[in-house]
Amino acid sequence: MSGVWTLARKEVKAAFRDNVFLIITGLFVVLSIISVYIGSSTKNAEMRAYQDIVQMLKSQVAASLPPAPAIYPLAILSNIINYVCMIGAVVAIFLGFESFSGERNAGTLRLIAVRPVYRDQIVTGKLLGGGMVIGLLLAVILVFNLALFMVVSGLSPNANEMGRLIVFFILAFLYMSSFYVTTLYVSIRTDDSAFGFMLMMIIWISISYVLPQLADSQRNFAYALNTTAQTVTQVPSDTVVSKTIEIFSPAAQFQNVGKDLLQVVPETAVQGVFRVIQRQIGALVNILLPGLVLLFLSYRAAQREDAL
Amino acid sequence: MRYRKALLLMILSVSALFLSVSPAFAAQTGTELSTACSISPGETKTILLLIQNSDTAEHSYTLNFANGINGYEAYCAADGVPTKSVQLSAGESARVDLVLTLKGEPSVHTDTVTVTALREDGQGETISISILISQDYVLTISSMLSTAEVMNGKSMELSFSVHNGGAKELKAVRLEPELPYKWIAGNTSTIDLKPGETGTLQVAVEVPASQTAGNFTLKCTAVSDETTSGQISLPVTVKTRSSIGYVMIGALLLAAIITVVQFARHGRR
Amino acid sequence: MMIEIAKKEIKDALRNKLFLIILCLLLVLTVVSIILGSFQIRAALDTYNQSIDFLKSLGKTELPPMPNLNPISASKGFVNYVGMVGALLAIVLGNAAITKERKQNTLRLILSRGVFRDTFMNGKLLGNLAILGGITILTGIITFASVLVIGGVPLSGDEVVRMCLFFLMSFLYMTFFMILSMGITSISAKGSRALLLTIIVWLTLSFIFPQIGDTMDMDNQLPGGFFAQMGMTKDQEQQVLSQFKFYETLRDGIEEMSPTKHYERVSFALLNVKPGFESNTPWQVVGLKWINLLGLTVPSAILWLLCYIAFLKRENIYQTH
Repeated sequence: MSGVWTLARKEVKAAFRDNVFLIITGLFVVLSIISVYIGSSTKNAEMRAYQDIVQMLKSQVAASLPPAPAIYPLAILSNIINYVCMIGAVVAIFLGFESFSGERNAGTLRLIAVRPVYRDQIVTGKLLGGGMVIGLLLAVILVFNLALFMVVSGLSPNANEMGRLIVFFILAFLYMSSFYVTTLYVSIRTDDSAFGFMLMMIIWISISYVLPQLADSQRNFAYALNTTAQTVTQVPSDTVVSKTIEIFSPAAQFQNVGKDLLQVVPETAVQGVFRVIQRQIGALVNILLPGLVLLFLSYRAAQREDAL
Repeated sequence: MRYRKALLLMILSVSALFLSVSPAFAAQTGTELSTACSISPGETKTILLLIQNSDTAEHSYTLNFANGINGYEAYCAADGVPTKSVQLSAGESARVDLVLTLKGEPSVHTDTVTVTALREDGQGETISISILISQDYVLTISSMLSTAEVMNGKSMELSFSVHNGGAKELKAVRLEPELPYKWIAGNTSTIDLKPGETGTLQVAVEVPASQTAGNFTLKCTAVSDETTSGQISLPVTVKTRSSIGYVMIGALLLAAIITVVQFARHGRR
Repeated sequence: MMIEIAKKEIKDALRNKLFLIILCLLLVLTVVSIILGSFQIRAALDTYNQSIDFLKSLGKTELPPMPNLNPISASKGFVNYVGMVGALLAIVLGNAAITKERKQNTLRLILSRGVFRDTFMNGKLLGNLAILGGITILTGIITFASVLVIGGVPLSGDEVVRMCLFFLMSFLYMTFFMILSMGITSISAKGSRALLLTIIVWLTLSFIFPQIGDTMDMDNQLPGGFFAQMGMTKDQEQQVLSQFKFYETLRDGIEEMSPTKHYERVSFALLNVKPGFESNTPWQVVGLKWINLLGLTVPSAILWLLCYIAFLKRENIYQTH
């Protein structure tokens, strides 16, 4: 077990010594902070605009006032869903693409293997190390974002909302870990780290963009009449085909669950966090399953003769 | 004997007529029941119709509108929601609004439209509504331009000609533009128009700097205290400002100069 | 000598496993998006006919125009796939152009043959441009064939020209990333790190800047849109808009820095994905979208000139790690 922890600690140290990894990580952190700041500021500006409108209508003794916009605190943080899907996944890929192939090319993998460490322990150690880096990164983002959000918007989440936020970050951790495990597997199987990296980029594009866009293209857009304005607008609705395509995209599933947890969907915005999880259990399985399968395959691949 | 039989038959027929079930149909505009309506060009009027199911069974009534000589836009609505049919229990009555809009110039000054409430068994009743085209207030709008061009980030002033074709004066005639998303209209002036008079109104429209180049449609309606004109559409082409292009080409020239200087100083390797 | 280097570049690309995988993915996605676009057209036509009946039942006389039957215009994804995967392809090409010479130690060999560094770079550029041109033509042929066979839609002369111009824009867009990749690789001492840095720049330009632009759009902050949520009248809407002018200018500025946004805007206009350009000729569309054309070409030219300078000035160009 100590061998596993040693390997894990080594992974963490190596990650924070890698300049390129630090650049992409920094980008992730800065982006999430910017999105919270912009989201909070824009929300404040919208509320000010609403107040101005109400004042103006009151001074004109208007018969009715527009209702206050329903602002759910966590919805201000909702852009982080896209950033985790986009940059978070790439951070995980950057973390893992040289985990085996880099060590293999440098000759250190054989050196580790001659020590009293089983091959599956090497995989476990790498996994643990990568998990610790991802966990640390997400914890930093959670603390920064929450602090900035409370300072700029002046809102503070209640217990249910805090629970939702924590569950969301746990889900983000599992999502990013899935990509890390996939990259680990590719790294075990390929000698050329650049090839492995680009392969992961293709997988990332397919999961995060191609499949969700294919699903979106298969939605039905029914026409609905706006009786007040007498205009016709299009309302999207899911079809069997679009739902089926989404099953193959953990990114689409993550976005659906994330929107429920971060109060983007008004219908589920005030539900209890366990109710939301229960509702989205299928999506959670879709996010976890590929990672678990690839973890198992990684252990198997590490046992092969050519793994070293 | 024969005459007695004929009289009995006639009495029976008349009784059957009275007893035969048919919807009772009534029309109301304003507060009085009437089958007449006065409407101005461009105006929308709501005519209240009452449908009553006098039968002992539930029925569904399909509402059909037949247009008059002037082309009207019309639909039936129940509780503000457009509807093509009404379901009524035995003895129940329902209010249906006939929403009528006269678009464009009318061909005739008196017209008739009909609304039929047709039951599923084919029985139905038709109500005719006389339309009197009010020529008191007639407002028309036309554009001085057929198309317009503007740079993004800039504003343009558009002129529209408004004409009072009615018999009475129109007060506070002003423009109500309908703009593409995020465009801003400046304040418009108001004018009064005497019968037969034509005036010009301007509106300043500001195109946001973030607007991408393309073709858009600007719609405008003239509105007065008494009536509203039809809506006209004006195609507007938005172009990108040249200043951005000059900056980019300037940057390219600068890079080219630096490269030439580099080669001149250090030679080729 | 330049032509020889270019020919070698083309041969090497066709032997590059990664390049071939990405190329296959691009071609498959092209066909898939046309198939899905065709389904969408059929569904859109049905929905359009239903809405026409609905509007006519309301007595409306102003009816919306019929949707475009070209499956490409129904598929925004087509432009996005070509943009994303094409950029990735170009990055791989640009990176491989320099790193393989370093790894195989052929860089010293070539430069010892009396080949100037700028000639070497020009040869690389020419070869890679020829490869990108070939990819563009191949994708174009497959697209045209798929639209005719799968979509069953005969294209008018106007539409053919528009699609040809679209593929020209795709070529220019891929060229930008190829030059970016070559430039970063020629500056970077570590070839493998250069690829990672290029990917980071690509992510920033293609995903992050547009995403920041979306974040800053106030209408995206509330579901259904800000004005729709508030049920504001036009006057109130105008008042709010005038308060957000600075936001709009800043937001647009960030989006303008992204070549992906330029590519998307001109492509959507040419392919009629974005409505409003149906009445323009293809050249009028390009004329209207000249800023996007400049946005695709000028940065490439500036980057290339900077590449010259960087490659010329670097002493340790032979380093392999």
